[in-house]
Amino acid sequence: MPPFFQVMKVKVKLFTLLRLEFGVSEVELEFEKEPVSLKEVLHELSKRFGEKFLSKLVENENLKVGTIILKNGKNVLELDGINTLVQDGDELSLFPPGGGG
Amino acid sequence: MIDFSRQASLLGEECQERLFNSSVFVAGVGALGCVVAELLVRAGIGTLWLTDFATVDPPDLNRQLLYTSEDLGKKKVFIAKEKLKRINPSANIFPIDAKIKSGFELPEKLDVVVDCLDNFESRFFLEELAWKRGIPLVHGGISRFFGQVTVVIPGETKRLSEVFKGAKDESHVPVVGYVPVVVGALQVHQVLNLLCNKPTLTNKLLILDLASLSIEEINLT
Repeated sequence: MPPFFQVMKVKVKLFTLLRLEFGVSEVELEFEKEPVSLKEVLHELSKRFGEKFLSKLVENENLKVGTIILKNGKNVLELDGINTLVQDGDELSLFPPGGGG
Repeated sequence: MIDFSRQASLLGEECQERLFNSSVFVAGVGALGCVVAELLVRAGIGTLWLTDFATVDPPDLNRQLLYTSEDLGKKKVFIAKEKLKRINPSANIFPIDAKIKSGFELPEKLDVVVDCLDNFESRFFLEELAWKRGIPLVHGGISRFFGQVTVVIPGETKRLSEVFKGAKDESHVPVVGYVPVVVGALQVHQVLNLLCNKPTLTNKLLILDLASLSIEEINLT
């Protein structure tokens, strides 16, 4: 780590079914390097919420369909998927959208 | 005849006049579509197009408010038209018994399209039709105790197909009847705001969570 590096902070917001299932609406994660990949963020989250969290979102090292992940309001599938880079101050929003009408 | 004075005093006479002269397309007359269509007719929308291919089934009755057990087995669009005409006989209501898929075309002279469909594939197709014609679209979707609403304005906002890329459709989505009432009402609020040039949920996704009693916005970029 560089001598003056401050920890990188990322805000993760869970909505709808994820919030109901894991009982948390918002988490702030800290990393000792920057940037990190979305994959690293998800693995960090699974340390808090358990393997069940990861298995809902990731399959064979790729994002599973069903849950939308926005980085600062942009779908990560429009960026670099699970390899999308996450930097200090970024905000991730995770939610399975309502498909019914 | 409906006397609109109670809302015209709130919205303004000019806005009310615009509603009378507006044409709105409601895609899907299920749980959301029933709420949206009824509130639009009660608001005084002059012309309403209703599209659905389904018939009324027993599992629909917990949340599809225009239908009753007497309507089982009948086509939703025709029953909906009949009920809506009883509410506002002055409204022009055109039922379209069709599925929104390849080959479907939107009617002419629409001011707003309202997405009350039940799957993302059809939604993305509907959005493409509206986008090409430059017509604003108000999206709503529901599941369980949750729902979301956003407004798509061609050339100005993110598209549903971008925001919801990777979404997965569920068959027989579990849902309680009051969720579509709230989400449908929020959609109608957006329709009226669009028609009366008031602020709308453009480039914002509103997420309603009745399990935690929260309503939040995400800025879309």
